[in-house]
Amino acid sequence: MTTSKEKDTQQGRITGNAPPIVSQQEWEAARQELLVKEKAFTRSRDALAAERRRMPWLAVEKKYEFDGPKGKVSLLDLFEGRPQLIVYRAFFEPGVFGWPDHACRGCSLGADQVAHLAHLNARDTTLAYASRAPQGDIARLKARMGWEMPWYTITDSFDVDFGVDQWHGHNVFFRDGGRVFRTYFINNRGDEAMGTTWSYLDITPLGRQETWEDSPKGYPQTVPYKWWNWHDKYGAEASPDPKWVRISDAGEAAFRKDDADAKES
Amino acid sequence: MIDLMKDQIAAPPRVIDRSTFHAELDALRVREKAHTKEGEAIAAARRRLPMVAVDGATPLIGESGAVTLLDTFEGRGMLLAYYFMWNPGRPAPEQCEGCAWVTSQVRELSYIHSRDVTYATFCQGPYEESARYRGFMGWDMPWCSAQGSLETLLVGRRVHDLGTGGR
Repeated sequence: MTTSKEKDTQQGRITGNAPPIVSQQEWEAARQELLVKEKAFTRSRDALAAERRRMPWLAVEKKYEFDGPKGKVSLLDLFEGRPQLIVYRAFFEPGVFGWPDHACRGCSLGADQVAHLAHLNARDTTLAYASRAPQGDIARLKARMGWEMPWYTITDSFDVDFGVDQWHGHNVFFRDGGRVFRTYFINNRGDEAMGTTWSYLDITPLGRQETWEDSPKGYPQTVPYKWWNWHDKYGAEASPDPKWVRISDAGEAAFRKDDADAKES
Repeated sequence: MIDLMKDQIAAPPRVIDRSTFHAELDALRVREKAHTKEGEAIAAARRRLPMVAVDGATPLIGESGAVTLLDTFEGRGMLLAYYFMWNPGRPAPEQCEGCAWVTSQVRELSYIHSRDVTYATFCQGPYEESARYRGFMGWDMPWCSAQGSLETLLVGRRVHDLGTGGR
């Protein structure tokens, strides 16, 4: 009898064309060569995020209404007081494969990737999920799957108006007081890349809000690393903690020195 | 309530109509898709990287005591090990915030398991105290102390002493 673990293992076996086995030095040389392309790829991602921050905005004039855990809420309420909002349309409703026990498999895989939201919230950004299922079903699903993001019920043409009636997608909104703007939309394989705090911040109009970023003049920015905190400490402590500032400064200096040494040798 | 537009953004982007918004988005999408394709090409090159032999008997300390590097694969074909820095004998607030950040982004592992990949944390410090920290942080990925095998596992890399701020 094959155990599930043994079965799992069968599929990962390479049956031919396995890469060569080389010495540590040769492997390091090959890795360094690939690293050049990987770093260029990172820079290209940063450049795309910088373009997103310069995208024109679309004013949202229509009033939308969602059901939330405490009753009716507006699109403005979904911001939870923060200036930036990302809304992911997840498919969970009668007729969707998995109903009523589960949301769509792809959307569930996506939900399982969502990093702790305290970090995103600390950069003035709220993430919310929205589906057609009633709140009772959403509460049951969240408890079953261990998901903690805010999750609303769509009640009107929100999905049609924002391109998520037939397929999943992330819409990004910015709020100026009571005025709401749609700033960005990504779907299909773009959704695949979402989940980490960085991936979400890179699609927002303000970005990561760090000093190294190429943002329009006057955009809010603070130095990198310093705003990080443990997910249960944001708000409880004055940020940035001077001790952490010292540690992160020393760490950054050490890594930059390593880079410099590597360039010299 | 923060009024970013008033307080910070001197010149917010243009506000445009729906068709122009979609046209701009489509134009950006062309470049975004090229970036996605480049990422796939790099992943393809990564799959063709040569491999270097590592001794499967390399000793580590896990939940059940002494284990080997091979054991940490948990029977799967691939292992993704994150090296977690450690400040020996220090309380949780003095551990590496960067490592904590990275580790807190790691979520559901069942998907990568189904693709024959095991994810594990290899900690620079001793098992007992670092595993206590892992419990305190609420993490549930496999956790090992690599303290006795750092020279083997980090060959070619410098082992930073976190206690002196990375130096």
